[in-house]
Amino acid sequence: MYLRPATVDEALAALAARPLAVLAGGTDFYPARVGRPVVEDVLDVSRLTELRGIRDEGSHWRIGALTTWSDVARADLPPLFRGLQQAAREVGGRQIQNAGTVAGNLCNASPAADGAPPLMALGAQVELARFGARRTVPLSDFILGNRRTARGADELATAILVPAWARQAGHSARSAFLKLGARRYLVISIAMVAATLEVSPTGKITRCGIAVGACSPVAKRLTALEKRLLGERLTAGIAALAAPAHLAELAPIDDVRAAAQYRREAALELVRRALAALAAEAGAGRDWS
Amino acid sequence: MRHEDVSLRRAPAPPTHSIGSRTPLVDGIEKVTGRARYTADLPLGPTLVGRIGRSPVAHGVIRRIDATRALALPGVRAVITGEDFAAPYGVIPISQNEWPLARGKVRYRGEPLFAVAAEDEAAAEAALAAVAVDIEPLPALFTAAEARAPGAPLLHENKPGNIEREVEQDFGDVAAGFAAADLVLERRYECAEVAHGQIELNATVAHWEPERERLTVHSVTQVPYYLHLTLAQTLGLDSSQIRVVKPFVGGGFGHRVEPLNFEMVAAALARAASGAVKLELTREEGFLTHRGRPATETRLKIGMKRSGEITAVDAEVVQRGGAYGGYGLVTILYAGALLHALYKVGAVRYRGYRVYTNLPPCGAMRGHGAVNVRFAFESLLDEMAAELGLDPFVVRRANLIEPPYRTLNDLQVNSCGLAQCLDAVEQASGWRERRGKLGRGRGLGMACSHYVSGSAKPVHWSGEPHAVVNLKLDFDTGITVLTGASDIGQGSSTLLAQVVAEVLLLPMARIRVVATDSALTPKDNGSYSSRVSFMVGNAALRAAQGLKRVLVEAAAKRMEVEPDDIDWQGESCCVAGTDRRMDFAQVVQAALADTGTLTVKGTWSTPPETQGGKFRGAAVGSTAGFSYAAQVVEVSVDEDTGMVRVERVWVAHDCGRALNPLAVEGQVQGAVWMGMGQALSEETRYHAGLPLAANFLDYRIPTIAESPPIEVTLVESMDPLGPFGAKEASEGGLHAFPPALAAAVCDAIGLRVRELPLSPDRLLEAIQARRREEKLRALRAGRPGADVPEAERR
Repeated sequence: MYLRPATVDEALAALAARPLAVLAGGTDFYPARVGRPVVEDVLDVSRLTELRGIRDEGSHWRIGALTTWSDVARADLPPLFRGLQQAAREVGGRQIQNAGTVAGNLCNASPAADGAPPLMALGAQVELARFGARRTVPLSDFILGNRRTARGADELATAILVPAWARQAGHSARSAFLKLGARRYLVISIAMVAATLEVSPTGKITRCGIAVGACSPVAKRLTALEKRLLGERLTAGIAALAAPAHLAELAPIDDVRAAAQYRREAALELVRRALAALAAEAGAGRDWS
Repeated sequence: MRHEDVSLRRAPAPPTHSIGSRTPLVDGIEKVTGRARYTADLPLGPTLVGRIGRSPVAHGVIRRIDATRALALPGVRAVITGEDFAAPYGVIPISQNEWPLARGKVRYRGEPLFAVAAEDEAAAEAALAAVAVDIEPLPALFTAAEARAPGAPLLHENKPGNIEREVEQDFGDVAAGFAAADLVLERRYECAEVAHGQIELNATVAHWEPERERLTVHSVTQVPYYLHLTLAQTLGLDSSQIRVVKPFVGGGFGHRVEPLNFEMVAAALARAASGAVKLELTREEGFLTHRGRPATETRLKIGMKRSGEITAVDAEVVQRGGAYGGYGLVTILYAGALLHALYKVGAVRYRGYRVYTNLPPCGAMRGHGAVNVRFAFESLLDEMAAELGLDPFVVRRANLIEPPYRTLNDLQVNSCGLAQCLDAVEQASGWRERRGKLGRGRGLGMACSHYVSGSAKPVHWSGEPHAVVNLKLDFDTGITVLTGASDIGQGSSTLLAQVVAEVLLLPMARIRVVATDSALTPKDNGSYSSRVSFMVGNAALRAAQGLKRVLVEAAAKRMEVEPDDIDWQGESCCVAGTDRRMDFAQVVQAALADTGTLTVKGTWSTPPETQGGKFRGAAVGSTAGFSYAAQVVEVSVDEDTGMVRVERVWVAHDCGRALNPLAVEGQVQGAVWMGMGQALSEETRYHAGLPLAANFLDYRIPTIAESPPIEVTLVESMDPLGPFGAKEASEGGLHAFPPALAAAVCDAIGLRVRELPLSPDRLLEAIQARRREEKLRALRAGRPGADVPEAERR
């Protein structure tokens, strides 16, 4: 069975009736089925255009579930989203960016998902709808493990919600994203780091999110480092505050892409570079939101 | 310094009629419009679907293959095993130990074990799953050291110690050479195994006509005539029953220079099923078929005088060859032959070991046999130059060959433009002003290389000419070049048309090339060892000269003068000094009136003096013309992540004469780029014989984002034997990249890496190991500040 509903309600009704494999951009769906026919029933959501696009809803930003990586890269967004936009430009190649959706990247739940670190560092939530009901789940609770999420079989991810940052007068926020692979594009990441910092008018860090991807089954927030950074002045020296102990929770593996030890060291270096880059931008007086 | 992004410059041999002109490829239009038909696009009619069942174990005895259940399934037309073949095969006549489907034993994981033909893909898949296989596992050997260890199980009963070939070569007095040296250094080098990564997937379409008992095979091969020979042998057919056609091929790089198992399997399936079978392999199966460059360990010792002169060379090379012979013995001989023949050296001792292991077989890959030893040799020269306080260019110049020259291992050098190559890249890169002055993390490195223009003796020594080209000229006044030479994207068909156009002074539009159909075109040994431009080019040159003689004689007869009186101008000719003139069509008609359709043959063979010496294995490395190349690589190195970025490459290549500069530049850039892939990121990897990177995501060929500007200078040394002076241009530019990169990294961060590839994790580990050593040394010396963190000391 291949369903291609025109409205979200129709899609939810179909999901309520039977288990269906959800297909959006297909950039993970098809590679997982190379050389064999599609045997499961499919819910193709690509006609649900109401789910495409990014909107400012005051207390938060809504990234519709059909928003592609190219949409994110091209969108006119405040510096808070620089990290996510950088990630959008480094996912796969251009064709993947045009077809693949940000929400699909999260639902696929690869440990190397490029979308997870920047959205985690933004404190994003995932909006899940089932027929007649709707709930939101923090992203860190949504991805449960390698290829496992909190989405119920009858649920559809409808949006990613990013809380508004820097709501107090004079505060500003900005994010950065760094990815290391054995080549620049078309590569599964060895390590990824995303950092979001909010600073007060006096230049002190008032809120932050630091996340590392590809170094554990699920991308991880570095909460110890985040605590350490709060209240610090955002200057060049800030990079040195990141210490190996802050990455203790990571559980990198040895695989064909890199050795665990290399991943751990590279992740620390990337964290420092992300912080240094944000400090440099603050120092240079670049616009923050 | 120069600022243009990519500048392609060439030394000034002026273009003539068609030689030396930048000529678009004659088959380029089909390729860029998508009209070109590759094997997988054939044929138009329906075919059965072929599939190969592969061994799940790396080493084992085949107890039973039972196809009863599979054959009973609907739509299944044939199941075959090794028992369905008449003989084993192997590209080298003296080492034929492989069956198209394993017989008796399996020797690597993924080795073809049985094959099925069915009416559609689903039936073929069902048949694969329904074949019952019983294999008794044997201990498997995955490294050369394991395979060479005393008491190791044997892959092949007749190969003690799992050694396919041991090479011992000694030239001159090595001990005296080392004694005369001012500096002797010995180092070890390791290169990981790499595969070709050609874009087009493997495919064969085989058609058996049961009524006529004839076989037609279309395949992705670089060697259609070796394939023809091997099909006859393994299927037990008479050669006259077989026709082999090579359609468009999407890249070879050596993957297809030997007949491959799936090609014979497709043919046997077609015969068993009495029909047409299409066998398409996946990318993973391409990596299992592989036959790429073997993992190589090199121990190298060089003696050098203070002047940079090389007094002696002592090398031991171990190649992890995989499970079957293939080209293996040639690879280990090439490693010895081309190790030192680039330079004038005093004495050489070479020991080579080609080792069988339970992994996919290795074979020939662009730069065959010479790439990994070149990495070792050039790296050691760089290190010794530094120790002696010499510029690396000075060391190369101290050992230059001056042609005509006979190398220590009896290879004939008739032309050598290496000196001009060195000058060109030294100047273009701003070497003297910039090297060592780019700041920490950025550096320049250089290296040299050379390669053969075709192996001087063919693999199958039949006594025939080494190359044959037929020309046909008929009522339509068009010339058809009939050639067995395989155009695999390198532009050989274009080149042959240019050569014929040049001799006859005709426009390219009058010339068609029909290539690689065994029923139509003359036999050709294939596209390997960069032989086609030189050998087939020479045959085309002679064929065109022969045709011109016929035409000139016909014109002379018609105008009642002597042939010497004819002034040939291509589209017309005249009696010299008069206005008596015939146009080309009239000349053709005059010639046809005498004999009917004109067919003229040209042949060429390498002269005996270029076929090497008399010692065992001397033929390998011998060639009618050596190409030479030098390159400079500029890198930046990120010491905290181990990432290396190639900023720019300057390469100069002595191709004798650039027959088609457009194609030559592309080939040189491609060779450099392929060397970059091996040097930076490419490596096949296995876990207990299971390939871990058998796809293009994990087998990391550089993308355009990693590809630097490659500035090409063509040096034209005008080889006395090459067609119009031309030599090889597609391989020799590869070898120097890896050592030039390693030298550049050393210039950038003072660290010498002797392992390939220089992947970020490998380089970072080396950087950290050096830091630990420096710290320890400082602590031992009791130096204050020794415990200051690294980050602050930099």
